[in-house]
Formats: sequence, C-alpha cells, structure tokens
Amino acid sequence: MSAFKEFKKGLWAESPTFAMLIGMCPAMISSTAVSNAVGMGLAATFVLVFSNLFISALRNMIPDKIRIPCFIVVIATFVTIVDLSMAAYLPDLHRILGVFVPLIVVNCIILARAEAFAYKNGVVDSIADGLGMGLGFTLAVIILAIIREPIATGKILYAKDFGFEGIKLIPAKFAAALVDKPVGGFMTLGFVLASINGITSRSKKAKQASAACAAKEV
Amino acid sequence: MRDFIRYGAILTVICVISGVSLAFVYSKTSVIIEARQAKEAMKAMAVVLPSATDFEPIPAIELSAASGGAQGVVEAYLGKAAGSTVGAIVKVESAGYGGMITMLVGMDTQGVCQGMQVISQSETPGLGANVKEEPFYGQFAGKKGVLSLVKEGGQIDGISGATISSKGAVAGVNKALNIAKALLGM
Repeated sequence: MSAFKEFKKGLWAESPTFAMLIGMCPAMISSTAVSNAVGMGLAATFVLVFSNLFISALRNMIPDKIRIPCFIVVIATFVTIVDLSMAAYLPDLHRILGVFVPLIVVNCIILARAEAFAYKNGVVDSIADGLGMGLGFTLAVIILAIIREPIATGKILYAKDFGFEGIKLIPAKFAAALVDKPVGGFMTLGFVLASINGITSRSKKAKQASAACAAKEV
Repeated sequence: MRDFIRYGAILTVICVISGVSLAFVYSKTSVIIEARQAKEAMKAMAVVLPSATDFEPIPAIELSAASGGAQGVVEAYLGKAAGSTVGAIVKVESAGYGGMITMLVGMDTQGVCQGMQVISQSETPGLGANVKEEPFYGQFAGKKGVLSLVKEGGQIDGISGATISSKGAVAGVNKALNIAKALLGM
C-alpha cells in the first residue's frame, strides 16, 4: 500500500516538473513536440526506475561521504547501457531519441530521487517512487508539448519516423517559432503553473469557506 | 586515514564493476551497431547515385588533393556499375544556421547532380531543419553547373524563413560537385 502511495505522489502532487521544478533542461528540450515528449519521458522513466533500484539495493554499502560520486557512476553506467542496447536492438527508436538518451545523465530528477529517496528507502518503495516520478515527468512534458507544438509549428502529433503527418490546427504562417525556443518553453511553463496554482488555490478557498459555513451552523 | 582507504576501495570496486559491465555491453552491441551503420550508409549512397551498384572509397590523400584544400570534406566514393565508373559521391560539411550540415552528394560522369541527402544537421526545427525534407533536397537531382537560390537568380527554391540554412546546403552541394568533378577528372 505504501508503495502505491510512493508511486502516486510523483504523478501530480509532487510532480518533478510542476511541483518541484527540477529537471527543467530536459523538460524544455523534449516538450517541443508530443512525440519527443513521449520518447524522452519513457526513456527517463526507464533509467529512473533502474537507478533507484540499484542505488536502493546498494545503499548499505555506499558510505555517506562518497554517495554522490557513487550515484553518478551508477546512473552514468546505466544510461550508457541503455544507449548502447537501444542503438543495437531498437535502432528506429534510437534514431528518434538519439540526443536525448545521453542527456538523461544530466537530468537532475534522477540524481535528486537517488539522493532524496532511493538512498533512504527500500527497494520496492524506490522502484515505485522512480516509476511515479518518471511518469509524472512524462505527463508534465506531454502537457507542455500539447500546448507548444501547435503554437510553434501549426500542427500536432507530427512524428515522421512513425509515419504520422500531424494534424493541422492553425495555418503555418500564424505559427510562432518563439514558442519552440527555451524562452517560449519557460513562458508556457509559467502559464501552466499559474493555471494550476489558480485552480488549486480556488478549490482550497472553496473548501475552507464551506468548512467555515459548516462550523457556523454547528 | 583508514577512511580514505576504505572510501577509495569502495569507489574503485563500483567503478570496476561499472567498467566491466560497460565493456561487456559494448562488446556485444558494437558489432551490431557498426553493421547497421554501414548498411544505412550504403542505402544513402544508393539514393544519391542510383546508377551505381558498388561504392569504392577514395583514399584520404587522393581526396585532399582533389579538394584543393577546401574545408569540411569528409569522405568520397567512386560509384561503379559492371566494373566501370558511373559517378562519384562526396560527403561534405557546410555551415548552416545552427551548426554544420553534413550531406552526401552524388554526381554522374556527365557532371549532373544525381541526388543529395542530409546525413545530420542541427538547424531550427520547423524552419532550417526542412533541408532534410524531400521538397528541398529533391530539387538537386538533375541539376548541373554552379547552383544558387532562386532569389539570387538560381534554380533552387530556398526554404522561407531559413535563408542561411538553404544557402549553407547549396554551398555544400556546390563544393561537393566541384570535388566530384576533380575526382572524375572533369
């Protein structure tokens, strides 16, 4: 049951991208298109689950003072293994994710979860945490990409390598290439965060008001 | 002092395990990866010079002599069919907007460009990155002489909003065609 709780928190309440605001660089680079977002999200989730698994299994052997170099070696080894195996056995996927796979090493979500969770918790909980955080990251970059891709290019779900031509939403001449750049990415993120905070604070206020009402009646 | 040795030993053990497992994975995968890259390179060469069936790499010394000191010349091949030379393929790099555009250009013995393929690029997605799309690269097949963009009075339609990328690609093709001519003794 607690493993499920660890899994669920990463999806939204402690979402690495929307709540903790870590791992911004890969979030900006992969949310330019929905297809990139899905690919990067799943690749990062895969690495996150396994790095959490290894670090939590080794946590009693790793002395506190040298934990960071140990984490980095474990994560870098794992990313390299994923990169090489993908290039050999899943060449099509590797061609699409090419640059993103080595970039996973510097995704600070992975080091942050190793440090904050896997190093202090059991193997099962750590896997659940990695899975939840990874899928939370995936969900967040997909949301950003759904907003950015049509504004920047005029179409959505463009993925040439899979034979998707994309669905035209707005004429290409009205497309704003700025949204494709990191600047536009951060602007999109700002609007999304403001919307999320607006909605949650409003529902919180409504709850408090109804609680106050109930208290008065009593 | 004892701690230093202990920490060093633990880190060494972790790095050795990591190194050994990476060496194992690398030895298993590198063969497959190289074979696939060679196959993909063959496929791209067959596209830019369809009349050839065999491709013979040109030695680096000969290539640098033919390129006359031009920058960004990666490699070149002679295209053969039934034992005779039918053309040449040159792989060049040319400066675009976001970095180097690497492309493969094929030319037949008449000096006619047979095709161009972008191997790698880092141009702006949606703009300059369209150099790797068919509407742009498809224009080069069948062209002859020194090429330039339509708005400079040439024959290649540039990508709107990406003049630097388009110019870079055209410059790369011109460079490759010149080297191909030199290689074929034209």
